[in-house]
Amino acid sequence: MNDGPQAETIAAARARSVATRTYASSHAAEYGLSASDWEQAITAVAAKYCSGMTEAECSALLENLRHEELALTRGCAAGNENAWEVFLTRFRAPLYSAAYGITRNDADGRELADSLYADLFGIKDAGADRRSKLLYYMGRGSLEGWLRTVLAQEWITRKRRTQREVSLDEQAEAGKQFESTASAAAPTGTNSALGAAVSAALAALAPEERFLLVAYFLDGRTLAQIALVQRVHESTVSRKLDRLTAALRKEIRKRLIANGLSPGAADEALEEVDVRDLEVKVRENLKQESPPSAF
Amino acid sequence: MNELPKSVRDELARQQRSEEHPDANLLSAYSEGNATPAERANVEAHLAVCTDCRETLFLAAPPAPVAEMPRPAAAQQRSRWFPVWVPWAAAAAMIVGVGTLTYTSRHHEASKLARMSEQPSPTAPKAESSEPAQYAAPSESNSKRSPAETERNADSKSLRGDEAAVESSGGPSKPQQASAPSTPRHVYARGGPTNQAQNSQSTLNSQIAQSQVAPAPPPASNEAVEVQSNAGVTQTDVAQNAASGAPAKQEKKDAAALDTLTENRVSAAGSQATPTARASAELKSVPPQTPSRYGAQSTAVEVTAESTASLQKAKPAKEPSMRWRITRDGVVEQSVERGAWTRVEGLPDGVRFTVVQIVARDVWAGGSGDLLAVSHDRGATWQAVQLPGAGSGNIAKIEFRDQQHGTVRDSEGRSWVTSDRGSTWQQQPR
Repeated sequence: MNDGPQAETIAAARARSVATRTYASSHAAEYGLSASDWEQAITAVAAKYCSGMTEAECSALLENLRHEELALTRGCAAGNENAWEVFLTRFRAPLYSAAYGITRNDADGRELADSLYADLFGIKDAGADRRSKLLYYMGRGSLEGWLRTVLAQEWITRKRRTQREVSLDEQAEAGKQFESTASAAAPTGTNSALGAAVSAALAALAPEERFLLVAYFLDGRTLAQIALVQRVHESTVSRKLDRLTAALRKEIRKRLIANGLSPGAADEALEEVDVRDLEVKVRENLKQESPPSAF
Repeated sequence: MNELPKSVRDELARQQRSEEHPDANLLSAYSEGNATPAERANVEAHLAVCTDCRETLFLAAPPAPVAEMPRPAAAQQRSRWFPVWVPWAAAAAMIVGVGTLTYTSRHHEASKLARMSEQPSPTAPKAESSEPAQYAAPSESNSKRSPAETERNADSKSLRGDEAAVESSGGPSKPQQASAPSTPRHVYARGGPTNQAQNSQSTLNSQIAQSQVAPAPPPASNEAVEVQSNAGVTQTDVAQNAASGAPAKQEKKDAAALDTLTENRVSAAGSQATPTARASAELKSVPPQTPSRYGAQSTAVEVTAESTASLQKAKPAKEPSMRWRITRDGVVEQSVERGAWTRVEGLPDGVRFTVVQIVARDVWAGGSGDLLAVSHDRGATWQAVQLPGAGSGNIAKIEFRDQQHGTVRDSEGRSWVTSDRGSTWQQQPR
C-alpha cells in the first residue's frame, strides 16, 4: 500500500471494516460512542500508522489494537461518566503505583500522578479547546503501559529541567567556568584508524544489537532489566551480549588489520581497557549527552 | 561477560544525540511486543542513540514478577520424609491418656470463669503512653460474656453464614452452645497453647486482600477507587488460641468463603521458649462465576487449613480461646470460646480492614489508608500505629516471625519493618 490518496482510501476502508466488526466487542456504546465516533477513532489510528504498510499489514495492525481500552479513552475524552468510572476503577491504583515506582518517592509520585490526572481530565487547558491527553492513546499497547510511559516521559522531562537549573545555579555560585559540550579532540594516527574501524563496526550492527550494548555498557542496566523490556530470559540477554562483544572485537580487529595495522598493534589498540578508567570516561561521555545549557 | 573495548564505548557515547522521539504509543507497543518489525527496528535504532528514551523505556517497564517468597525456616523442615507433626502427635497421644480427666474437669470451670472476667497477663506489657492514639475498648465488652450471650442467635450476625471461619484453638473441642454457626463447613487452624508465662507461641497469619467488587458509584467513593484490578480476595477467620495444657490435635476442614482467595498462609512463629504451634493453610480458588470487564467478582473459594500444635504441660491458668474474622465490609469481629461473633470495639471508624494477625497476645489489624492498629491485650484496647510514609493503599500483609520482628506491606508496594514489637517502624525502599 503506497502513500497517497489511494492509500488513504484503502486505510479508511480497512478502518471502517474493523470499526464495524469491533463496535460491539469494544463496548464503545457503553462509553457513549456512536458507531460513527468509533469509526473515527479507528480511522485516526489507521491514518497515523498505516502509511507505508501493505493492506494486509494495516488490517492486522487495526485488528490487533486494544479496542476496548481505545473505546474507553475516547469515552473518557468525551466526558462520559460511565467511562470515567471504569477508568478510575481500573487504572487509578496502577497509575499511582507506577508513579511511586518511577519516582521512588511518595511525595513526588503523588504529585506526578496528580499532574497526569489533570492532563487526562483536560483540566489544564481551559475553555472550549480543552482536550484530554487520553485522546493521544492509540490502542497500540495496553492503556496501563501507555500511562506508565507517559508518566516516565514526564518524570524525565522534569528531571532534565531541574538538573539544568541546579547545575547552573550551583556552578555559578562556585565560580566555575562552564565547560564546553564539544566532543574530545579528533583522534590521530592509530587512534583515527581505531575510531574509523569502531564506527564502521558499530554501523554494521543491527539496531537491537546497538541498543543492547548501550543499555548494558553505557546505561549500566542489569540483565534482568533488559530482559524485562525485551521479553526474554536473562540468560538470553547475557548470551547475546557475550556473542556481540566477541563479534565486535573480531570485526574491529579485522578492519584494523585491513587498514595496515599489525595484528599485535591491533590487539594492543583493543586491549586498552581499564575498567575503572572506563567507568570514569563513560560518566564523562554521558555528561556530554545532556542538552547544552542555555547561558 | 566479555568486556567492551574502551574505543567502542567512547564511540557509542559519542553517537548519543537528540532527535525525534517515538511517542508513548510506539514505546509502549515496542515494550509489549506489539510493534511491527519495521517499527521495532526504528525504535531500537533510536533507542541506541537516545538516553532519554532508553530511560523512559526502562522506567515504564512493568514491575518484575515477584520472586517466590522464601519458605520460612519451619516450613523447610518439611523436606523430611515424614511430616513434622508426627512426633508431636505421638507425644500428644501419650499425654492425652494421662491428662484428659484432670483437664476436662478443670477446663470447664476455668472457661466459665474466663468468660466472666478476663484477667490480663502479668507479663503482658502495658500499652505505651507515647503511642499517638489509643482506641480503648469498652472494658467489659469483650471479656465478660454471660451464658445467655453465647446463645445469641446467629441470625443477628447474618454474615457469619457466608464467611469462612478459621479457628485456632489448642484446647480440646467442647460441646458448643446453640449459637454455633450454621455454616456447614469451616476451616480450623490449630494453634499452640500458651505457656505458663502467657507468652503464646502460636502465631497464625491470615492474608486477606481486598475483594473485587462491582463497579462502585462515582469516584467520590473511596472504596471504588481502592479496588485493584488484579487483587484477590479472601476472608478468613483467625482464631487465637489461649488454651493451655491441651493436647495437640490436628484438624482439617473445608470452608466455603465469600470472595476470591489470593493467598492465605498461616505460619507459626516460635518464641524464645519452646517452639510450638505451626499452622499452614492451602487455598484454591474457583474460577469466577460472573466475569465482567471490571475484573472477577465474588467467587466461591475453598479454604482448607491444617495446623499442628505443640505440646505443653498443664498450665495453671488459661485464657479463653478467641477467634477473629473480618467481614465482607471490612469489619473486624471476634468470638470468645466459640460464642457469638461481635464487632471489635476500639478500632478506628471509617476504616475497611483487610488483614488481621495474632502474635501471642498481640493482635495486629491493617486496613485502608495504610492504617495499622495493634492490641497488646487480645483486643481489649487498641492503638493506632503511625507508619512513616504511609499512603492511600490498603495494608495487604502483616507478618511477624516473633513478637518483636515483623513486616507490613501495603497494596501499593510500600513495606515497613519493626524489631521492637511495633513500637517503631522503618519504611523499606521499594
